[in-house]
Amino acid sequence: MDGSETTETHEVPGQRRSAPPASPLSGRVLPRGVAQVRPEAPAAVLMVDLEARQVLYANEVAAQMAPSLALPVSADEWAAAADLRDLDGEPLDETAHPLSRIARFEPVAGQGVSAARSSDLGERREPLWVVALPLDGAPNLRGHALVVFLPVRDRDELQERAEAAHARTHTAAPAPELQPAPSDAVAVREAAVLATGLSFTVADAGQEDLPLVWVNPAFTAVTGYTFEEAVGHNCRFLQGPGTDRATTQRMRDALDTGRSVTEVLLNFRADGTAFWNQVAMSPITDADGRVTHYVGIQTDVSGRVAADAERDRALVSERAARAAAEEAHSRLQLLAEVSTQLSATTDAHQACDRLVQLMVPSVADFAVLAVVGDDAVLASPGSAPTGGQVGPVVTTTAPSAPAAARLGLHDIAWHHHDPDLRDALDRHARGRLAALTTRGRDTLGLVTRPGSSRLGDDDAQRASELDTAEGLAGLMHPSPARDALAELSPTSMTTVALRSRERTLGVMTLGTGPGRAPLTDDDLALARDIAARAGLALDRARLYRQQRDLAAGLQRSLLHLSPNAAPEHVKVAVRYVAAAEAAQVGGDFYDVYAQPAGSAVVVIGDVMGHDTLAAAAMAQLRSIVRTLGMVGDDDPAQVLTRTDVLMRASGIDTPATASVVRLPPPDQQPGDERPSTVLEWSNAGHPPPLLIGADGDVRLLEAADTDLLLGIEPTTRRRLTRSRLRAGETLLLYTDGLVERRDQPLGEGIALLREVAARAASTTSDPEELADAVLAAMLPAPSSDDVAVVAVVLR
Amino acid sequence: MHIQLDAGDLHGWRVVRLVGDLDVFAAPDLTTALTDEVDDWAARRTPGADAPGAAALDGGLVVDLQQVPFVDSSGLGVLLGAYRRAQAAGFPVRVVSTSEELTTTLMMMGLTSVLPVHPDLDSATAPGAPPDDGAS
Repeated sequence: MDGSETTETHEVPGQRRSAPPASPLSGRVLPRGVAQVRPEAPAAVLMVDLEARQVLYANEVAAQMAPSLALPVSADEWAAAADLRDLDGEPLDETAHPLSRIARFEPVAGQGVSAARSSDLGERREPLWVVALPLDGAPNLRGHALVVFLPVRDRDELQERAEAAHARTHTAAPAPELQPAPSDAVAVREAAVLATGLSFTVADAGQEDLPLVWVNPAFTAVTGYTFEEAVGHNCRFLQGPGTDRATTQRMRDALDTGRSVTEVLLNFRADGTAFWNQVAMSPITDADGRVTHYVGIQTDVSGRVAADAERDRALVSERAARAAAEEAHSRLQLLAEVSTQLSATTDAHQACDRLVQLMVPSVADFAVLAVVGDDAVLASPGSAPTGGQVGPVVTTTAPSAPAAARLGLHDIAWHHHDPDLRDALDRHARGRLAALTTRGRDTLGLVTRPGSSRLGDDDAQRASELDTAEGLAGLMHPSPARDALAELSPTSMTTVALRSRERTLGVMTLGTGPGRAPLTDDDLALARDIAARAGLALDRARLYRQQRDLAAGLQRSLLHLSPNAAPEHVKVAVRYVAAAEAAQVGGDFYDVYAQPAGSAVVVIGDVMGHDTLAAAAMAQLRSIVRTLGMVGDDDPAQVLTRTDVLMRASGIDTPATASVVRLPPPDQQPGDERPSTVLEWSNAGHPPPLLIGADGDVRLLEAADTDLLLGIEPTTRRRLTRSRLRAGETLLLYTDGLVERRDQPLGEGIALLREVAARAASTTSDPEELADAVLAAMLPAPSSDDVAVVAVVLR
Repeated sequence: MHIQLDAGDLHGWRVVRLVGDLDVFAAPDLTTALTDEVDDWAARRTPGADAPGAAALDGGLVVDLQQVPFVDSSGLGVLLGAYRRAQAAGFPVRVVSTSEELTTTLMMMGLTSVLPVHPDLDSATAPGAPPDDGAS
């Protein structure tokens, strides 16, 4: 029964009492020359009446081996129909024939045979392992024998040989015995067939509860139950705690419908030790197709199951290790992504949106981000609790009560992994800060308080412990926001502070729902890392925004012209177009004022650079030009000369271009129909202003050489030039942004401007309309530079 | 959008050659680089030395813009910064360019008097070149 025999006839006098465990080699490559039966594969089963030498019952597989026969049939006929031969395809002689042997009451412990198999592909020869056992002691089955044909695993070699042999016998070759293939024959005959741990049972289908009527000694060896103990009982006595009910149910279902079934189930030996039993149950039927018995072929596959389990465990741990590595990698990637994404934008709101999107679902199921308003500063809790106010008090301007309750925080971004829960998260996020209880505020205060440890890890940790699902009720007043939180069914939540330069810029709350594992310590650490990076990014964005707002505000206030700034005799239109790239502040400026003697002075200028420094220099320069121009009646050249000196003296070393044009009140020249005036102008490196005639004639206000721009050489001699301006003519001043582009050199731009101005002047004489027309034509697309335009018409 | 810089001595002048657009993006780095060049040259320069011929390092700074296709106002600011620093150290700055656009811009800003434009390196480093020789 332990199958260590060769393929020739074999008998094992007396079964061993202890069957070795199933080979751990199962499913692996076997040594060459070793075949193995496949107890899980459908076996052919016959029940033979030894006296009558008749096959009484057979299962379906056996019926297929001898298809045309009706039971009962003589064993010889059956063998002939199945074309049983030896493994080499030679006819079995009488003494070697397993059916003959069993008919002689010789148990056949194992013998290699081959059977013909007809299929669409023609006839093949299949190697089989046959076991024939007299059913000694079985009630009602005396004189009967069980014959089982088992398919052989890893049988390619055997099959090849058998088929080659089959071909030889069918080609009328010379007598095979004359040309044996000795080495081959020896190999096959010596090929071991492992049929380890196989045991057989027969259950009576005719009796209620299908009691066992026979077991072979191997069964006793494997299970510890003797023949007497086993027979008469349903084989479920092998089951015990841990036996999978679904498996036994599948077996029952199969047996109820007369099908064969193979399952592996946990069974228990007589001594209570468990083993994995692979049970192949096959019904055998009589001549009428009635199921008479169930034949069980059982194999102890504990070794294989253990090996499989070991392999599964190894796979799992390998997978776990790989997952851990991948997770570590993905966390690093996530951190890098946070920095990249948040650095890419100076728009804080956008940055916050990106941040919560990044958190979900990589770290948590949902994320809510609140930031401290730009105009508010978080005070530390306890530093200013006044008027019964508990918790941190915020601010620069007087806070409204709700604002104080929110600690100056505003929820501005949130996201949930599950689209179905986004509505609930929305309701929660919109109301959660206002719904905080005193304890909730204190808890949040722990997170937001500028801690002694730079990133406030301890505080954040403590807060996250408080901030568990059970504790949430105490942190929020009954409110729609709290109800919405309940809808999210958080299994874990944490709130971490976004900090930079010791200041708290916001807090991020992360939570998990029922669908995933609660946040781990690793997750918390990751969240704090991300919060630290996000804090820095937010701070940068905020600084940038403040700087830009400051500069832009400064610029706006500086460029504001009071309605009566210009004297009566001129009509002025000004335009300022900020660069489309909102990242920069231009140094462009203009001004219009009146001198004591009544002249109008128009100034346009451009300070080099696009930063706050340039904006500040612009403010000073404009102020200097205006002051110098307004205190007396200096002409433009004098104003610019003194401006240059004053710039140097004031330490303003930012180069700037400027053009100053003075328009004295007009006078009616004798012989001239229209009033006119004599412009006086001086230009410090600025693009030349235009004089646009009503007839479309456009002239540039330029000299042979333009004077040096301001801020370089204070001793520069500046020239004053005079030109006549008539009523209805337009003086147009502009900065280089109007005419200069990367793909359009200054000279070309100015030429284009002249054409545009001429066309515009032919349709309107109103400076406002003219300025708009020029801008529309010159700046079809948003400009990359700031542009200032001043149009002046003599009334 | 990068600008490259390399420098060497020629005829007693320090020549800084720029390759790339001289624009707002290049300005910050270039400001530093040119400041260093001016300072180094101020330290190495031997004005009025009796060293014969080309060995005398008595020239100023030449900025070669022949391979600079585009100069914006930020770029001009950088050149002006170099000019002012050189002026304080007592030596001139000249520009080599054949670009009509650049010349137009420099003329419009009145800069040709302080940053004379020369058509080639030889004329820019010629010993007796008057300051605005190459401008017209």
